[in-house]
Amino acid sequence: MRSTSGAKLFMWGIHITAVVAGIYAAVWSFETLT
Amino acid sequence: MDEGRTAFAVGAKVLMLWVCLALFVVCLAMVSLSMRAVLDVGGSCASGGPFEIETQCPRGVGWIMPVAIWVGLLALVGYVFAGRGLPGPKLIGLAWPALFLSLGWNFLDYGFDPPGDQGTSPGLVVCGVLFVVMGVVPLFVLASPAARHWMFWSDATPATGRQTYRDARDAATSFDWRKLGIVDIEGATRPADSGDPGAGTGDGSHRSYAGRNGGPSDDLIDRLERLTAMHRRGDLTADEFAAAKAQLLKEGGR
Repeated sequence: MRSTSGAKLFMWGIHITAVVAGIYAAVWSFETLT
Repeated sequence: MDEGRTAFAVGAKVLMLWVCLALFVVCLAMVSLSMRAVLDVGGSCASGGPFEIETQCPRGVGWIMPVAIWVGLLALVGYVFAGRGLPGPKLIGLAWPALFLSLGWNFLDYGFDPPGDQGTSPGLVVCGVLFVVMGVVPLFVLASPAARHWMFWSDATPATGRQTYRDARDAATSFDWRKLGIVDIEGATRPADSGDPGAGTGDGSHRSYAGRNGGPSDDLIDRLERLTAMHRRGDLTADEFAAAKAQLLKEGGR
């Protein structure tokens, strides 16, 4: 099933925000826990 | 399923995908940061137990590393399940390179510039090179346009494992491995071209030309399967598919 470019870009946005949030959360958690 | 329930299901999958990906990145970064913390104290440490410990591990690292590895693996499984059927990137294939390249970078960073005035540490540099090689090799599959399309710009597919498997298989089988110089199949000829029923037979590297057993019927089935996959992906219209299929069957019948 063909998907629109908008749907794919939206999913890219989901991925990018998850990666950025993950990196920030990891750095903050690591500094807190160690 | 009505539209409201479909939208809810898609929303739930997207949310789960976000959470799992973020959790995986947290775990990956935690592993990398824990490794750097251990390298900071000389590369080896211990904690607990009845023995006298020369170098204590940094606080928390002893449990963060194993927990992050296992939670990260579970998050990766969740990411794959949540992403089934959704369009856009499918970055599962980058998990291995991300892990090995990040750890390889740590090895090289501390290998060339270890803490203190120790000069270069050859052991760490060798580990770094090995890790970087292991991280880079799988990225060669991105030389295939079909693999790039599947990984970065895929269409929504029915949410079944079988479909995901088919997409990955199509991407792998349509890739021209000769580009990498790994597989030499220049000498292989199609049985139909050579007139020799035995031509093109051999090991699995010749499969794309001659089929599993080298017979013309296997070749025809392979080509029909690839054609069907292209049609399913939407690369061919129904008319183009029908014309190409008829042509294939006509050629195969000779």
